[in-house]
Amino acid sequence: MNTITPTGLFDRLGKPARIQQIARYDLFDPTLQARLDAVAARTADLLHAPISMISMVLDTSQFIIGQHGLTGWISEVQGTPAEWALCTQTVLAGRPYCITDGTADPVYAANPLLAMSPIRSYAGVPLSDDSGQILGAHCVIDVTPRTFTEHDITVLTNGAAETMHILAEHRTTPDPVIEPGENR
Amino acid sequence: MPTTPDDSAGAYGLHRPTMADAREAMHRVHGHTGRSAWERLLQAAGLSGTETGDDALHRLVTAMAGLDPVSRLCAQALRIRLSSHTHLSAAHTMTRSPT
Repeated sequence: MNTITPTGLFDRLGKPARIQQIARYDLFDPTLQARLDAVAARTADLLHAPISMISMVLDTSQFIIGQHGLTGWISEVQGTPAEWALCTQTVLAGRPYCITDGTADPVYAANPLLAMSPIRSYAGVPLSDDSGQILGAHCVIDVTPRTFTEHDITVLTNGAAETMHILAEHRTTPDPVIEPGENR
Repeated sequence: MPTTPDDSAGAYGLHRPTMADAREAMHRVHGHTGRSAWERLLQAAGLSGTETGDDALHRLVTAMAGLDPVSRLCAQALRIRLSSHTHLSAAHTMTRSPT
């Protein structure tokens, strides 16, 4: 899938300053999840996509905090291992990330998520807050090959902005104090 | 949480999280305070850290979720990996079983 080992990936995703920033939000509030489900539903509708998700990418797992159209074990578990999650690539890239046809892309040939589900195409944009940390991603998934347009990315970016606005209302702590020399 | 599947490697090469993985994750997300966070967690869970098996791990993850907001995220990530492993192992076993 990529050249980063799982441990290297987890260390990159699990930097204390980034996880502390995610921990500022009450992600387990059912009210928050319902509001984010609505954002995902609207994005899916606007982009005519069967699935849309809003995820926080934690150190070892993608944590889905809002979704539309998900079924099966991923919906039940509310996430996936980070090394399989397409949203991990969006977080690492720090910019919109698209897959036109995952089954034809050697980068994804070994990704179990594509092997065990009908996922063919993906477009995601990063979720970042005023700290500059990239916390997660807002995405759509399609079951057919698809070339995503600038308009599609704009719709996702608007959804990401609304997501961050909603998340700001669910902050539980003030800005964390970053100590000198702390690994960011 | 579900019971332990007998295949620890699971399907699709997904390794079932262990106590060692939990310790590594706590050190990772807490940075230079990882050691003390791990010790607080063991005390809260009433464990020594040398235990093996799912029962101890589930007890640890439950205590982790109540420790502090950063540890709660760490616990959630571990829960997702544990549940993913359980689901996929069960599906893998079913597809390999003779009918």
